[in-house]
Amino acid sequence: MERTAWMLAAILFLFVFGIGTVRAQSSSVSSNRNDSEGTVRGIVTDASNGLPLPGANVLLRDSTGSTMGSVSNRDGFYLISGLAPGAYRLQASFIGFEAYTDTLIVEAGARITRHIALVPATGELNEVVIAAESGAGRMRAGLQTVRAAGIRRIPAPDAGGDLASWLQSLPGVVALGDRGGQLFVRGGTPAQNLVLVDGLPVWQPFHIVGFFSAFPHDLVSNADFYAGGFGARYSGRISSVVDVTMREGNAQRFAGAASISPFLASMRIEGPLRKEKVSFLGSARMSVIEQAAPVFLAKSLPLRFGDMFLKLTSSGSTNSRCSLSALHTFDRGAIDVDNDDPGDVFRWSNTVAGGRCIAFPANTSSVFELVGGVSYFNNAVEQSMTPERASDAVQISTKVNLTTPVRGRQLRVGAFARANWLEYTLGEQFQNVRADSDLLISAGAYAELETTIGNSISVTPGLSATFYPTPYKSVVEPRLRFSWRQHADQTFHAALGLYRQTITGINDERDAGSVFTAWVPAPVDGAQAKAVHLLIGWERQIGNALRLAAEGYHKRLRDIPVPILSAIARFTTPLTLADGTVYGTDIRLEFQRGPLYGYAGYGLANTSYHAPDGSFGTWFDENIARYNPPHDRRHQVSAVLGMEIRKFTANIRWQFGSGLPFTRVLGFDDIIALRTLVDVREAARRPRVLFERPWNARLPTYHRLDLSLERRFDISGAPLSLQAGAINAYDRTNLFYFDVFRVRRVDQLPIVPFVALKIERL
Amino acid sequence: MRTNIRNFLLAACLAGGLIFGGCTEAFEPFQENDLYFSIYGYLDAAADTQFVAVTPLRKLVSADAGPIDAAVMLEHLETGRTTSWRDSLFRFSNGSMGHVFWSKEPVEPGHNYRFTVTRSDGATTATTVRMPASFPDPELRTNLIPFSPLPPPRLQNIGLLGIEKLVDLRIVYTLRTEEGGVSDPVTLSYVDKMRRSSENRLGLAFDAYEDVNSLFAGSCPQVLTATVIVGGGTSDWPDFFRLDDEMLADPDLTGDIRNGMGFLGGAIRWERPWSGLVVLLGGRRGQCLSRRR
Repeated sequence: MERTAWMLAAILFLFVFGIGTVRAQSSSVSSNRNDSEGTVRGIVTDASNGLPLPGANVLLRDSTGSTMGSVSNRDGFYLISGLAPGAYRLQASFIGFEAYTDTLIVEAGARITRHIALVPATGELNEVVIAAESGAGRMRAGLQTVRAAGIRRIPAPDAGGDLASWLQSLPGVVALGDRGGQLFVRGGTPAQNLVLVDGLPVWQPFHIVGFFSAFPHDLVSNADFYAGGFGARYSGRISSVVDVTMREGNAQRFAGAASISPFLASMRIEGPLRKEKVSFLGSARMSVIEQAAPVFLAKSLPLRFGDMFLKLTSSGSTNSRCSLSALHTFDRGAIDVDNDDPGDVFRWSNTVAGGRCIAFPANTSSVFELVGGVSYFNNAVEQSMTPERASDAVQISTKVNLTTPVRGRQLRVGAFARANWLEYTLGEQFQNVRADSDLLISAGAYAELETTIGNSISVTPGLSATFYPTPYKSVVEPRLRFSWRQHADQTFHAALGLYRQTITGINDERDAGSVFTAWVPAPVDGAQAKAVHLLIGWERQIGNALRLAAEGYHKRLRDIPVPILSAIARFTTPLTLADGTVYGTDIRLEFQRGPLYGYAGYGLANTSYHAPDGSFGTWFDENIARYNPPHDRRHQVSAVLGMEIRKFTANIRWQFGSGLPFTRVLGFDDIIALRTLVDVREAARRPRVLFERPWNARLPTYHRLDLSLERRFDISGAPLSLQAGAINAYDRTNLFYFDVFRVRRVDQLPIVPFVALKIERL
Repeated sequence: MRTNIRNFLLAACLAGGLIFGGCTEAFEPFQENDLYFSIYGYLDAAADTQFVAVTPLRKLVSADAGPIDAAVMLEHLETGRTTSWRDSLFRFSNGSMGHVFWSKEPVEPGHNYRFTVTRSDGATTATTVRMPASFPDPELRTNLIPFSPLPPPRLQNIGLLGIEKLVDLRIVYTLRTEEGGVSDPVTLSYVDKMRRSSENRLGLAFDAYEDVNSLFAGSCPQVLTATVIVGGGTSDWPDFFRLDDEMLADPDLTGDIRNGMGFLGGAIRWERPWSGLVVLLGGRRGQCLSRRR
């Protein structure tokens, strides 16, 4: 693996320098050309509230009619470089907004900063219209971008949508059930996902009720979700990245919202602290399901969760924008809520605080980004018969990113430093990891060069390097992202990369009801988990309304810590290292015409773990060398239908998943340790579960229909929305998991009807 | 157009409800099998009563302390003599309850027996037990020379002859602790320390007092009694003493039990007090105390 990484790195750099050399030769006739090239950059905002608009198209057209363009990033920032001196027509557009047009004179070497405020279009478009580049049918080598309106399309039992529900509607994303907040992406485990909020990591942002996360739709500005193949700017995780940019507060006037549903009560306020200069956004949400469940579900649901978010943004300077963010989440409850003895009660909380600045000084074409902060996670098991288990993790991190145009290419470089403090007490859950605390310091850097070849091919090779003082090996991770736009309607994408993870979360996968995750440094023999991703995708626009996308992927996993499925009926188990293979495909079809929106996705996946040395053990004379872990969902279908008619919005989602692996048992007996000639009348007996192989059977299939219907009212300028719907509308009895040791099934929620009310002041 | 869409949605919902809500898939967490009982224990040619733990394979992790549907028989394969065993319910050291079958029928060294457990519906778990040949009394040497002015020797010896496979070798002590109390029995196992000095002989040299004293952090305990236990088995015994809990749970450790799990072996258990060792260890304790002062 090590040698492969270095070979890949060498190939990538030869490739990059090869392109660089060719381009340098081709431009040698005008060696001073770069000095005379002009740059236009700025931030695109919504004129009605001053918020940045990610995904806006910005175009420059010269006198000959040729164009150069850019799409604004998550900060609304755009940059067009390599401009010859002359007059240009500047156009900016975003669906739902009136087009912006201006004229620019670019002088030799000029760096022009031009902020663009787009005015919302009149009519009923507003947020139900999604920019084409962020629809569910857009999948660019594992990357999907979603904004508030896209999140809102997925019904959730609240007055709005949530990123957690949106993620679960994607093929390749597996949730074992509707509780626990554990998401498995393309064969990876939850602890292998990197979740960033405003550039800072958040360890477990998904709530114990699986429909919800710390990211409700009305707080999210933009979310980039990489199901794999992510670029070099992301490091430290081997499965996926969810990079969330939270919305800024309204910089022009005070606004707010309050909502109530059977699951959540929430409040949001925002406004200017200094008009158009400094704004704030504050939100608090608290679960009410514990109180509402006896009424709505006629059963008890002892689950508590909530979150608070605050963001201050300063956009006072023409060439910089800074924000301070703080997020706190908490969760508490048992997964098995239907039984008198619910077993373990889990509790976790996150606290994230930090700041982020972007700056584009007038004397350079570069854009700087500085991010720093702290992320704390506490995770424990309460009220359990088993020994105490708790895990705390703190990460203090800072990073600097620089984006600069280099001869028509875009170079992104950055450096980071992280200090992780990990403390854990695991009782005897994992026999080779018990209680300890570790300080793990790392520093690193990355570089990515986005190069376009002709007008249709984009290649972004990258390299990430991470250095550890002790005791781990410093690592280099080459990455490559590629796209070829064959013509206006058809694009091919690919990504390839090596990923490593030193700090990993270990979870007892023998028991799907156990969501306790202990964050530890590489727990077995110091082996860093590794993955190699390969993704190849295709995307086609068919007419104006239909988009079809398909993507195949293959992942090789190495040194993944997994618990051995012990035969002794107890919660302790040794950990071992497994290798894994994941392959599959996602197919998506998206339709949008007028008020009607539809999306259908199918995911085929195969995840298998194998241990080369047979360390999973031997059972019934068979060496257990390979198994499908409990999140190996082979087939997945998701369909969403949304429609807007006057003041009504209806959304329907149907999900199907083939059965997940479980261990079908032969029965239980008691073993007596005959290490000596004991008297069997007195010797201790230990219960044993007997099975032929671990994960040797599959649970029944899972499917669920969710509905929501929203009616909007306008009461004295304060929009009020009333939403009604049902989760699991046809009351399917979906099996969540089967607890082998307690011999009882735990089902997912039955039909959950809901009514939600939300009042806003815009 | 709108009416059509509404009708379509309604029809889709109804169809979904009827099709998907109506069909529930059967879920069977248990796999059909032909395993009926789990048997643990050994037949002891030196004992006047035999005890074997019998557990029916069950579908709950916790054992049922109720009556057991099992009839246990032991057949002498050379003579054909069959005896029926009796059942008793015992509470074990970990607090759980379970069934142990017993018989006063003697078992003979060097012979073969068939042990069967039969349910009332005829389901039977059975195994054959080969008994080891008898072996001479172990040779226990303290190496203490009576009335010698020399300090007591550090090493003691145990010699074993004619044992096909050693399955147990322990010394069980009772001690007076530094605080003056009598300890619970303390067991030191040497089964994995025996060395084969010839084809037929196993030998061990060990420092008994050092082994005991190290258990008590060098506090010079007084040894009150010492009992040696030797277990001779047959070659089909696994090396249980080398296995951790996970390995012990491996079903492959099941001998040739048919339609069942567990292990039933043949053994001869030899047990004697070793008074000479107690005398020797008294002298060693004196040395220990003088060193501490």
